[in-house]
Amino acid sequence: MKKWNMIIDVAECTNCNLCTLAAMDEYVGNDWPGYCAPMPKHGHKWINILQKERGQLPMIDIAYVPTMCNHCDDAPCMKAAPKGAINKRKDGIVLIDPVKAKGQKQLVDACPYGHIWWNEELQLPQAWTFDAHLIDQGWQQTRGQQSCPTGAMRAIQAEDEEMARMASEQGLEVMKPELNSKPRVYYRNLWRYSKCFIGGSVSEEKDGVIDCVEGASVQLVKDGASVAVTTTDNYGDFKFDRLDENSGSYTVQIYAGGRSKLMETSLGASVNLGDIRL
Amino acid sequence: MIVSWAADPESTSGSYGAQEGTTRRQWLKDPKLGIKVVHVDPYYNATAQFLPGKWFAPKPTTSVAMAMAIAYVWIKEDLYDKSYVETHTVGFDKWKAYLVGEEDGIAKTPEWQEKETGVPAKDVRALAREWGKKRVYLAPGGWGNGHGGACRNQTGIPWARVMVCLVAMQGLGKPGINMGNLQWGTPIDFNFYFPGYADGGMSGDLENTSMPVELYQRMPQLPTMNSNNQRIPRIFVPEAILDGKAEGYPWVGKSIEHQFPKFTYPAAGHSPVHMLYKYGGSILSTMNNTNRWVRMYQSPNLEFVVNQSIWFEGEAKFADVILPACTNFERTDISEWAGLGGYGHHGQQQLNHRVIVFQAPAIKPMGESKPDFWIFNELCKPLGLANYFSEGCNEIDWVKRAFLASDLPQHIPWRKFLKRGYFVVPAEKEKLRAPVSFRWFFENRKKDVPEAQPLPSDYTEEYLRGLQTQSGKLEFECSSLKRFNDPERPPIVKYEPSWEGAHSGELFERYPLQLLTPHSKYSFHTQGDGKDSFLLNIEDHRVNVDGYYYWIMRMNADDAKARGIGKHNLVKVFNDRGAVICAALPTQRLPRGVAHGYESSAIYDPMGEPGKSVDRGGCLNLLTPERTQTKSTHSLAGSNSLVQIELWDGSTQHMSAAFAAMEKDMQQDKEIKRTLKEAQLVPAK
Repeated sequence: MKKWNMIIDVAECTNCNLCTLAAMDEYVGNDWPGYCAPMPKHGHKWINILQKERGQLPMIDIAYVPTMCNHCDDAPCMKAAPKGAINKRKDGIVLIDPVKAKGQKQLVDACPYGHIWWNEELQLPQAWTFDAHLIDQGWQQTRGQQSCPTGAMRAIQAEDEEMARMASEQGLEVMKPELNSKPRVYYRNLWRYSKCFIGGSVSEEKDGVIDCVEGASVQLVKDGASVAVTTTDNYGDFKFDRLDENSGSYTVQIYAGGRSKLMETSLGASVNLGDIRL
Repeated sequence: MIVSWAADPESTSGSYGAQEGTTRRQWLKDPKLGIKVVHVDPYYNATAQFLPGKWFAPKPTTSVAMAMAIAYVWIKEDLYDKSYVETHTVGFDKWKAYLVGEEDGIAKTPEWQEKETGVPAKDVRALAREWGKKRVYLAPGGWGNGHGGACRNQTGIPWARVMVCLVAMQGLGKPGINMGNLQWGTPIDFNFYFPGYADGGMSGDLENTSMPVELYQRMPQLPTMNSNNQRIPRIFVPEAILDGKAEGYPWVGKSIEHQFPKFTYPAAGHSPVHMLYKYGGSILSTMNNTNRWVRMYQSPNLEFVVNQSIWFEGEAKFADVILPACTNFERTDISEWAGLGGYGHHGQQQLNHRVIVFQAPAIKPMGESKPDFWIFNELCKPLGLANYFSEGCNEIDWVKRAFLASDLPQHIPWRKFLKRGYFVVPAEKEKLRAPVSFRWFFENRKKDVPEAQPLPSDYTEEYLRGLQTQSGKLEFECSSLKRFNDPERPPIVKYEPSWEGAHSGELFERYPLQLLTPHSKYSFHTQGDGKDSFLLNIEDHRVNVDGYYYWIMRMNADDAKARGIGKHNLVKVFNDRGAVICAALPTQRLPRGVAHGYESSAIYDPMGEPGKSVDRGGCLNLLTPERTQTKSTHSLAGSNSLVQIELWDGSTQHMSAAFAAMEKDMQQDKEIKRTLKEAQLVPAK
């Protein structure tokens, strides 16, 4: 049977927050019996946008990652929920029962993604329902998707095998795959958030004038082996991206016009080596 | 390539355009198009985040120098269109002489600009070379052809001029060479008429709205006329009240010449102001150095204040009488999204579709609030004017009159429109679409784009030939400024450092941070902010610290570290004009010495006596300069100000400059009285 999945493209999210606001519009003050109780006006972010600044000015970029209940197939929260307080539907959607879950505050800690929210007033754990009440009325899009101006968020109904194939072909990733909780929310371009870069700008002095060096060959070396090679653009800029954070020491070797320069760096988070004068 | 210069349409949305332009700018991310984007902005703005490209971060107010260095490289390396400059522009040689240093002995080199902007000369040279070799769209300001951005700081006028100079050197109107940022200019149907918000509506005002252009003929109504010819420049309303005088220059969209005549308050033979009838409460966070308003509202010179508002926020609390108006969700109305009418020609072109909406009330007015129409009608009753005001119509009658005045009836019957609630204007046929802007100018043809200006009488040689300038060409040397003789606006554009920046001497020593206060990303003016709205939950808008939602103050991470400031620490942002408590956000998105917080907080929340205490609502315009860019223009300069930021120690007292002067006067007064008393010379009452 076809089940619901969500694909989110990190490279297209602008942090406009319309999905976050649409979720509030849908759930704050609205009771959807059988699906969920009203969301409190403040304090809950059923769709929460994470962000990361990478690098140091002027070589920086910023990634935004909308997160929400992952509707995991092997949901840790379900294991912590006695008496059927959390249920998995046939279409893949995980729902916290707004009646049976009452008082079960332990469920908040059971979610490794921080996406079960405690409603103090109703004494109820709550999460984003994949807009199940709308899906059951025939909606093909969630509210967040409908409001997204860039199409960064897309709900997809697919057989599990089909989704697995799509994920592998398109390089989609899930959050915390090591937990093996089998999330149904997938990310494209997650490296913009999870990986880091080494970059810099190459320049030279000629006849008393400093200029950017275009076309310099730059090699990234780790443990004596070449990891990647690139050339500088017209601003002398180079960037090696998709490196692992905290992946230790690297050497950057720059060659241009018979001259060369070596730079050593130890990679924690993204680093801009700045102006490198040949 | 697109050079985005002080342009952040992803935050400013053109004006009222929401995310409509986003979908178009997203095309630029298609690698198949191969269009590079470069960003020039002291803040790594939302548009730079969305459309990655090389980022140049000149210090606020200085990018005029960077633009001049680009032109200098083009001249030295022969990277501009000489024949275009020859045939389509005037005065280039004079400007060229200034750039190469023949006039003042200073060549405007990339090295020269580096001292001002902080941008490395090598990077500016590389940009100039790339720009000179490519077809480049220049995207200055929020609309891509001005409006907001660097227009609104102390060097806004030379910035706007130098942007045009750059595109003039490359050949404005040549294929691929133009101005825009994909925010304005959609091919929607402009032949369909629906009155915009500055078309006068039901006001009958033929003088101060654009009603006579189109609406009056379609919707005849009783004309109204103001018998009083007195005007006060909005930015100097406090001076007019407190000092009894003010002067200014108008902004008139009709022609260049209309900008030059000065007006003064009080106007000859007129009464001074006794009463202020204010609609809404946004001034404290949308004008500049607004503790002046705080003082004005407390001054006995202003005898009576009425505030008609939806929200009990901002300056509404200073009113003697508050008339609570209901929201547009609680009354009947009709409107078009981004339909500006005469205020901004064809404002709908920032949208992908024209959408006209019948606004049926969703609920009844809450509390004691009433529709504006009801309030004004009640006020007219005792004046004996109610019948003239309403013309015997109620709200729905007026909605129908606007419907009938528009082109809607040609497409949808009245009852069907009411039932459906909206109408999307069909797109124009492709062959009827307006051609590319300025292509006619480049090709020496008659103007063929639907723009109101120049007016027919404003063409120099022949109707529809040439630009609105007095020469009809792009002017490096400005004809009107040659006649006006303004030392602050020389005929050719020159670089003059800001009077509130790195050259400000002692002021800069005390207040070493340049604070950028652009339009906000998540709210519009004061709409949407405060009011216990959902927006409070957006961490980049406001953040909850100890139960209070504070406004965000972004600052360079090293500047923050040097002050011991961490993420979401409460900080006091202050200068002589005032002090605002914000939540800090250290970032790499700003160079050292620059801070960034949006203007237009809806909340004004002084923690003690207004004017003499800190505000924790986030009204950053309490800190911005009221001085206009030049004396002879109506030109706000407040989007950059010098401030200091420090960890907030919880103290709430802060004497604003607007009140300090008064305190001094009172103190002197007291001292004089004491001296007189001691000398037993107290004057008899």
